[in-house]
Amino acid sequence: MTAETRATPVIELKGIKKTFRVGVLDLPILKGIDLSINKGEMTAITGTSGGGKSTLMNIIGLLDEPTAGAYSFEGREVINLDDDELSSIRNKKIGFVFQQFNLLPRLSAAENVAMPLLYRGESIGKSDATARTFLEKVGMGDRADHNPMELSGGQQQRVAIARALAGNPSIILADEPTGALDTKVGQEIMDLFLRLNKEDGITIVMITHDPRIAAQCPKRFNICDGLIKSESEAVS
Amino acid sequence: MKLYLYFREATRSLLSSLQRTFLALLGISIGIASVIAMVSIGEIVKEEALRQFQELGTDFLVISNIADETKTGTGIIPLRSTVSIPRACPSLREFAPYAVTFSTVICSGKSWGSSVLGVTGNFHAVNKLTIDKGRPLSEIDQEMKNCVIGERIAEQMRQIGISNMIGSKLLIFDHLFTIVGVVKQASENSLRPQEINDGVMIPYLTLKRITGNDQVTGIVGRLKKNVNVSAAVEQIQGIFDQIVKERKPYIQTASELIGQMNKQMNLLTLFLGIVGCIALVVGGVGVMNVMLVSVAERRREIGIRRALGARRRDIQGQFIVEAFLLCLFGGLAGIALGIGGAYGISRFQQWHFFISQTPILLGFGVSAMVGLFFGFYPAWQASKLRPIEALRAN
Repeated sequence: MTAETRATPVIELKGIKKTFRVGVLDLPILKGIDLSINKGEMTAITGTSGGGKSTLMNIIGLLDEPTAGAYSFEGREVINLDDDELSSIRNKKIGFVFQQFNLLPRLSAAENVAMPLLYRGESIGKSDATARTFLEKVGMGDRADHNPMELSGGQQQRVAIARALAGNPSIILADEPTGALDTKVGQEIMDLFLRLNKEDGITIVMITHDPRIAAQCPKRFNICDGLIKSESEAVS
Repeated sequence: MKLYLYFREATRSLLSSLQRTFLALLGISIGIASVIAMVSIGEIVKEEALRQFQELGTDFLVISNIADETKTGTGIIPLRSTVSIPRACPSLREFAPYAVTFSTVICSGKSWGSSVLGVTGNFHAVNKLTIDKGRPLSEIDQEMKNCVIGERIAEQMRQIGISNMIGSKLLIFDHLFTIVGVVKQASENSLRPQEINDGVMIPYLTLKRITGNDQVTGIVGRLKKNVNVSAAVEQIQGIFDQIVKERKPYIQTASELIGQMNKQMNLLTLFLGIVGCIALVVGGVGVMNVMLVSVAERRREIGIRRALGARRRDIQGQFIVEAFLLCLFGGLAGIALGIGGAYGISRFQQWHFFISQTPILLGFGVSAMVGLFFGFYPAWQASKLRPIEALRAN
């Protein structure tokens, strides 16, 4: 890794604002967020519910557009990109992990994991092989042909993580990844994230309201009332 | 590669909600079936109607409305004045004047009122009649008391127990006639004189000698090959204008009649096709309804796919393929159902069943169009969903 690439943050937000219109009222959710995330970092975004952390996550994940502000992804301005370009960045550069796992119910674990690769235009054989490799990596190699319904919550989340990893993205965005799991299983998922970050240098941004999960992340942002209230970075 | 993906996702989705898929298939296949059945039946009816004329031959023509029923004895056109007509009209190949009168026919003490046709020797051949038993009347029968009976008289004789009619005697105009032949029932819907089935045919000159009646009621004839039909009709009209002053003879040719019937039948087919298309549109709306419900139910799935990097056209492709598959299989079932329906109806009506490629191609084409047309809007709607809103849906 050269010093130059280290210098460019994966994500850089400047003055991000998001206002929702409810009837005649403009409801500001994000009031000017500045934040940057560098390659290889593991970041937690914490905050009270309704504080705007999910909205921020959707903006970072290019699922939603900010009302104002600048967003550069790997040095590329992404605010005014068209839908196809945004889809392409989501497909190639971002891996999503959701609270409710969001696996497609009619597809097997391997087919779920292969989905981003198929949308990219990869062949079935190749994407299936890649999918199985990543299922192996998250400890789900023996469940590759199971349907999500046949898997436990923790297992489904592992498959979802494999799906996020399979496309070799620049960043993993995890929205409350342990929120639907009990403490023990949640910690197992957290351990997996920590291992992926440490061993493979994968950049991870995680939303959580659980202080025990957040405490394990070296870098933390606390969002309160639409602004970053505190920023802390553990010395590693 | 992407197309495979769309087909896989569409197939899984259709198989995962079998009931809904079945209902959509039912709607579309009934639509396609009705188009195919309706158009086929239109074509079958047309062929059926035309067959009766084609069996008679397209060169056939009949001239009527030349006799004056108020006069008896020597009428307006006696037989001898028709002799010059073939010479004056070279388009005519054959020519058979006939006279229709009415008489009581008595057989074994039973009597029936019946038409009596006075015919020339070539009348049988010109009308392409078929002999059931015995022989037709010919030129050598002229002035002899021989007769050929139609199906109605034959049936009445059977009822009084006479099965061997050839050689039996009939009393017509108080003269004893010998039956020499029985003609088969001639098709009802043709230009042939209707009296053939209903009555008795006797030689023209015999009729003239017995009754003194020499009035040609009508003339059947045949045109030569490759003549201009309307020119020939005009020519014949001209001849009759000279010999019949009081009225205008009515000339019908098979070829003109077939042309008119073709037009009418095509109109019927078109009308039936439109009725079928209405059913098809209803089926198509059913597909659209199913697709819209499917899109609404799968908003979350659409959101997940968008998050994984599916472009709008990927989402659209998947849903269009789904609608297309519905219409393809619905169409196949509909084609089978439509052919079956047309077959059943023709069987029931005793029509000659056939299927031309028109309704099949129409069915395939229309079902594909319906699929794309009614699938497009729901697919477009699905693709326009904003990823974030789709993801939030339950």
